[in-house]
Amino acid sequence: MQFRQQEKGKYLLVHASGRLDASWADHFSSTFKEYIRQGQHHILLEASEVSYLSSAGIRALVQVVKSIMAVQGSFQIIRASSFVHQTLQMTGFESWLKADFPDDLPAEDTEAQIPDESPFELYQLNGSTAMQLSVPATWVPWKAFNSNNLSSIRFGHQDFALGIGAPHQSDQDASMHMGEFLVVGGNVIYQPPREGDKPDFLLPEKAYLPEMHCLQALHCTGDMPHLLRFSPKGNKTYFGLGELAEKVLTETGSALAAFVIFAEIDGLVGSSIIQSPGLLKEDRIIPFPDIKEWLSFCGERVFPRQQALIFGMASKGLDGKKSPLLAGSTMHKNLFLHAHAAVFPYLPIESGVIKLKSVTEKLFKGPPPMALLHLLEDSRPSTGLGESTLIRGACWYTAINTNQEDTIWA
Amino acid sequence: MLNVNNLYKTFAPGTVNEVKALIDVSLHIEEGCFTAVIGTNGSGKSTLLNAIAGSFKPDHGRINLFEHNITNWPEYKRASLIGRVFQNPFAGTAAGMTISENIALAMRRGKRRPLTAAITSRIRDEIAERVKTLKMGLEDRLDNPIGTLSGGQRQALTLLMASWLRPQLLLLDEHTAALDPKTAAKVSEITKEIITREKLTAMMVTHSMQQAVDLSDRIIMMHRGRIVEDLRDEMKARVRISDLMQTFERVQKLDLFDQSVAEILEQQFV
Amino acid sequence: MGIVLSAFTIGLILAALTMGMLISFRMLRFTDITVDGSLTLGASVAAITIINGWSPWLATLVAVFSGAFAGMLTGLLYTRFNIQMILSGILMMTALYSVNLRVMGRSNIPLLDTKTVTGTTETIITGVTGGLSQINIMGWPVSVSDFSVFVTALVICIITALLLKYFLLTHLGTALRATGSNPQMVRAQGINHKSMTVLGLSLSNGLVALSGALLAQYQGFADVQMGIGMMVWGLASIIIGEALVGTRSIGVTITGAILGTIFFRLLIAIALRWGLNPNDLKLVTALFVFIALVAPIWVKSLRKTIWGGLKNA
Repeated sequence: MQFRQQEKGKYLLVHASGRLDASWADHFSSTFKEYIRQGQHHILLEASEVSYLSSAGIRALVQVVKSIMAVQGSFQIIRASSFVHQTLQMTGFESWLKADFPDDLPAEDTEAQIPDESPFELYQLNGSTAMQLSVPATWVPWKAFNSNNLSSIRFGHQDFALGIGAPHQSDQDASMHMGEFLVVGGNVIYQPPREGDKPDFLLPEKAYLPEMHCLQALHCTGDMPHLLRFSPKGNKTYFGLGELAEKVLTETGSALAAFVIFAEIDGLVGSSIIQSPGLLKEDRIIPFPDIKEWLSFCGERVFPRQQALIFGMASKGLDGKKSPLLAGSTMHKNLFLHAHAAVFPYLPIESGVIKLKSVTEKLFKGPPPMALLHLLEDSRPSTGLGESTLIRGACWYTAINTNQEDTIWA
Repeated sequence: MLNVNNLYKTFAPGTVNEVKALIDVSLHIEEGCFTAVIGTNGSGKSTLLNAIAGSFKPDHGRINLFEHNITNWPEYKRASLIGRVFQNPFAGTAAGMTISENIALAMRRGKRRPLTAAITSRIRDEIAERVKTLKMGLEDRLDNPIGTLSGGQRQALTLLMASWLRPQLLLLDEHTAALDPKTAAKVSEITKEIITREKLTAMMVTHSMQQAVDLSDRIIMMHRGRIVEDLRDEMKARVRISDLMQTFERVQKLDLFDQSVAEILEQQFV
Repeated sequence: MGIVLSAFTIGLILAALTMGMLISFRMLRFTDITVDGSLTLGASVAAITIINGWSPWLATLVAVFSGAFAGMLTGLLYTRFNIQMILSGILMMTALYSVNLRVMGRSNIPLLDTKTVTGTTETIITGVTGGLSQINIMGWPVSVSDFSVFVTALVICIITALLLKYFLLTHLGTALRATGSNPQMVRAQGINHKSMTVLGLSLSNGLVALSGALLAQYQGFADVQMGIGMMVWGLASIIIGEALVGTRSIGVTITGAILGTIFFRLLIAIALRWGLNPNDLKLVTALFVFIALVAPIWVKSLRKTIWGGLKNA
């Protein structure tokens, strides 16, 4: 099969020719899924030159339509050849068929037009304007601790957090399993501190609220009233995490902000704990190479084309003060950041306004998370991996009310 | 059964070609366990096998097989306890000699070799009978030089020879690597069959993770002269190829973790 | 007929040398130049013991052991001291030159009017023919003494060949053969390949010394120079033997070695008769071996050129 595509406004017009049978079905569905991944959610298939359609072809079409429906898109087959038309009618899929182009289809190609169109879209959602922050546990590496230093938190639907902790019955038990976690809308994703282990997750359900015994936690409660959508435009093909964080700080005008990003990954840079800090016997600075037994490092830009769920906090610093729980960026001036990312298999989301809750619901119904990383910037000369970058997605964010006396600045 | 303690081996020490092939390798293998050793090229997996077989003396460390401390035994003496199959199908047999002569050699592995005829009709019948179990039709070609056989046939015969007198330990060094996929599968099958039937303790170096997962009871992964993963019992039972791949990646990633990364982490990991 | 008989006799005597080299050169794949020295050693030991009144049979046996000892030393140089193969042989050969001079006390011992191993045979044959000094073989008159030597050489050669064949087919012999073919495999089968090499070289040089002892008795003197070039001679014989009968089995290979030696000796005799300068003999032998070694490769590439050319056409 051959495909030729034209961007027309919100539509992608695809001229297909050839036979859509078993041997082309996989190629067909992967091609169309790639269109969806590129943000084309309204697809018109011009099928006048599709000479044959088998049941394998119909199955491929069903898959594509499903994917499009999942992102609230639309799919129509235009000017189907008589064979395709008959087959689809007889198999009960005539709803896909349209006699002609939709009325709102622009005459010209819109590709590469409007070069200075912004890659960002900003939306205002409902909810209170600022979140409350609490910092119940403030461990910094690599201090020895006992289970009294842990604080237990139950996370509800309005809770967002990141830190180091473990979901166990008792504090003693938990201190042997301290790993990174992040909480988005009460959904907890936790990375056990053993290399190669898969992240675990705990979801609030009915009366059950996940509980974490936290060694370190940045914990906010409230709504995310702002939404920033970003997608590649022109030369802009990816978005750095620091860049998004700066945008969030600018938009809120606040000294401290929290954000959730759900986006397709270009490449992540980070590390994670592989040995519980509960095993520390004394306060120490762990030198190289011993540090290799406590922390893993990604070594390369990881998980391209997968989906990240990131929770982070960013600050410009408050009157020259900075927080011990936010790392100073080496690539962005006056930016302090702490973010954890959970990695999931790629999941396309609809464009425009989208609710965080609906995204997380959909996400946790699908395949489990593959990894959880504490994101870092790697600005080593020549060998550096840079910062984590994303391709397209959504960022919900909010300002955090804070003043000089808050624990975070301590 | 087999105990390897703190084994070290450096090849070409003090030169530009210095290779630390084994670094503090310790290993205990129980009787009847079929262990697969996997690892990247140059990870030391074959070196470990050769150290056990006695191809060279380790710089440091001890190897015990049963009650014997075999660390200083020469290779030929260890052969009384150890059967071997090599990666090169030509390495395990003497090409110019007949199938039966090759097998006759193996029938006295580690034993005295008297001045009596090597091939009598009784011995020949015994050979034919066991060669038949390979189901390769070789029992009709016992008097052909073994060099006229294909690599797969030679490897199957080498396997038969290595296990003719039940070895305390069977060492397989990538013994299917030089064969085409179909033959490799056949030799794998014969391997499994012989090891199961004779309840052999075996160690197999392989680059095929599929083979490691399918055949063995335990998987050891080596990297840069060290054992980096040891999957046994219920961990081995649940392991899949993708898990092994991930472990490989993780281990290789660890090489990229250097001093400069440690500095980044010191600054940024809060 | 005389020339043919003498060629046969010398051929049979030197067959022991070729059989010995079969072990080192073909089975152990060991290019053993000790041969040049151990042949002379066999001759000189036999000669000195015979002129001191020993039984020629005992003298020959002692010669065989002396050769075997020399071979063992070469083997030890190679295996225990890790000296290169060729160099071990050269060291031994060089040392043996002095040893041989020491053994003989001079550079040449004539063995005229002494008893030799052919004595017994001659007595028997003379008894059978009733005291004739000449007998008729296929219409040719042949002296009884010459014929006796021939018969003795034949018998010794056959017995040696049979013993060698038997040995090579025993468990030990099989291990020895495998050693040269694949030392790695041999070690994996629990065989000490170093011991096998030493054993093989001992046997080999024992046979070579047997050849030397018989040769000295046949030609009536032992000379310190007589071993020079003998390795190449043996090599030529092996190559001819393989060309004549192939190497299908141990028996065939040994037969080939014997036939090859005789055939080569005949060729030399004919060449000498046609006027080849005896001084050129070693050059011709060397040339012959050179051609025998490279000809198969030439033929192969020539064939390739021709057939390749045809295919392209």
